[in-house]
Amino acid sequence: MAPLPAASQRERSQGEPFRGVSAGVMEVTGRPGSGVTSTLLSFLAAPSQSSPVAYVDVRGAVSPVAAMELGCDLERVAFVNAPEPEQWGRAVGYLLDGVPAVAAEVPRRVPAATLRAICARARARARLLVLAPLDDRIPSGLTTGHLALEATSWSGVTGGRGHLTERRVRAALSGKLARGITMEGWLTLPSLEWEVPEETRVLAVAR
Amino acid sequence: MLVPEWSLEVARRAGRVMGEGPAAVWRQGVVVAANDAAVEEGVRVGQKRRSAEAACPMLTLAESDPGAEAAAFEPLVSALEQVIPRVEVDQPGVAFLSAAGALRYYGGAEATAARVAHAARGAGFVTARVGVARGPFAARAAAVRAPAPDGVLVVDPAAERDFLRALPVSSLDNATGDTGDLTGALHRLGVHTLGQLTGLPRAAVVARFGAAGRRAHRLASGEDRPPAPRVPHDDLAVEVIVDDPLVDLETVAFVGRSLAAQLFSRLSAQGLSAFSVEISSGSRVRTWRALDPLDERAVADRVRWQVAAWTEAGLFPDGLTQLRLSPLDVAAGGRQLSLLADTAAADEAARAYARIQAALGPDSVRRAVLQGGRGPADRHRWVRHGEPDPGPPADRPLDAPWPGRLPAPAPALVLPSPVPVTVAAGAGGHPQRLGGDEILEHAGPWRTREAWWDAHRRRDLEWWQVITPRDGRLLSHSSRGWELHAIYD
Repeated sequence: MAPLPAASQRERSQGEPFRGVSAGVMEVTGRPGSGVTSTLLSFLAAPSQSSPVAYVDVRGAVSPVAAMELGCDLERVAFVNAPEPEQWGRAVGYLLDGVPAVAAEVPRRVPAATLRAICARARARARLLVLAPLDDRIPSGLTTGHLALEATSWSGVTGGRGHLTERRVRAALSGKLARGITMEGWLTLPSLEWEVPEETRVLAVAR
Repeated sequence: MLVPEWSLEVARRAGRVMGEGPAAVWRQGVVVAANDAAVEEGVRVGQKRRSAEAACPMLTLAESDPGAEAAAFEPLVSALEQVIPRVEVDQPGVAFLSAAGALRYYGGAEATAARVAHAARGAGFVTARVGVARGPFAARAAAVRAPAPDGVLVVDPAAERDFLRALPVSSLDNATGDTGDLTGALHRLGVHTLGQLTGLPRAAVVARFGAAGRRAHRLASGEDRPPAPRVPHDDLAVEVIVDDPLVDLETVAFVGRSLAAQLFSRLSAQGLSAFSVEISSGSRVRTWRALDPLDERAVADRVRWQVAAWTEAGLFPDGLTQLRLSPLDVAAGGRQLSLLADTAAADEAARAYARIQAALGPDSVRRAVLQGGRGPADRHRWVRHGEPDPGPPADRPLDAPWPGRLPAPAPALVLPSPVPVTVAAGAGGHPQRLGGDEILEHAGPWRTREAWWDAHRRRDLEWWQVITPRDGRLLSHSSRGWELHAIYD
């Protein structure tokens, strides 16, 4: 077998920690432009092929066209507008009673008790809940995994020619999905494929 | 009892259809009523709106307004109740009356039908037609064929099978739930009458057409479900009583949707489905029925229509303080599901959405429908959950070419309105700095001209994709300066 190029060896795929994840609570953080919205929509793409899903839109700015391009079946996606913390808690609670997969922006000043109740309900109902807090982190211990998006690398544009085509997001995955350590790597959207450098993978196995 | 082309009549009364030329009414993209002039030009009920327009370019099209149709139909239903109690409304323009007792009371089918027709004319519905038969399907077909001037056709029970056999397969429209494909396919196979259909083995029809085929074969064979008003199932009924009267129709509609969700939660828990539902408020009671088992959305629609009808008639000037739904004609087992449709999950989700709308307002749950357009905010429209899609605006066809449209991927965050930004442009007009950020890469411009036909709204736009050290953004440059429209988040 021909040897792999050095770069590919270093960034060999660690697998897809998100493949087949149909239940649990994920947290996705990052500043605007780092890819948080696209990541949330990517988590809805697979479940929307067979069941209803919901996106809780706190900012009133999510694009359905982007959702469609990221693989969501718009026929099965409900967009729920709940900007106030109290409304948000009720809306997400109701959604978890009836919708298998929910991606939700989390408005500012949602009480920790509400978040604990929401996460507990998601676990009890075996739902997939992906949270993107707009300010503070979700209290520790509530989520299965935390994906911190750091920067987006775009391709397709050079010297004023072309147009934006593909992106890779530099991110850090922690929590149970990362086996208890923090793994830095690259996330490809909308496939949610995850690549980590070889040294990080070795560290994860050693742990 | 039916009033021919009721949707069209209501549209005409509302001034949405004028003159004697070809005219039709559509609902959810499909023609639901057409006048004779339109039919002569090739327009058919069940036809897609665009096909109808293609068949008859001079066609006047009006959108159906079920609320107005129910409101205008209410006086006739009230008049019929004076002749035979427990009228069941199938849809505005069509009502079924269970006449078993009335036949004995009035002295036969002809006398009863004449009484009903007289009551309808007395209420001002001079075009109303009455058909008498053992089942709703045959009765409706008889009413459609009732000759002038009496507008009454009684089908002798002994001759009912022959009557059905002579009907064209197009009479199955509105009766099987999936008629467009079914009747078209039957015609292509050389099956033009119900008699020819019943000549085929039922198993073969079911194998070819599924549940719709089975229902069609049953109807053609005279195995119809008679209107059978029963005592309401009180243990399944749901009710809401409020202290502050509900005066706004929208509010009542959402209360009705919430009640419908509760009702179907109870029905599904017992594996039941309902063919008719009684809607009551105070002393007012109205029964709505359907040939197929009702679903949650159908009941919510009927609550809305009925309350609109009562309100229009001035029956609740101070608003409603109570609303009750009672399932009638309950049967075990619901509609047959297709193998791949996860209807249970969809119903669960619909209940969750209805609860959110009841708590946060009707606009809190929406779905998105794609439409034509160039800019990031133009390519979709929002539709409230539970409401029909009104269709794309005339200037936003999805299948038009839209030159100048931005290439994929679309930005994930689209600002509700564009935000003016400061951009330093280079010698060639391309952006170099966005606020305090250096622009690392840019692409564009994609040039578009908005509303070129309107001197006041006309605007030339240049779209630019820019990459800063922080993110990717979509900017526009026009006579209004540089504006930020969206973020590639």
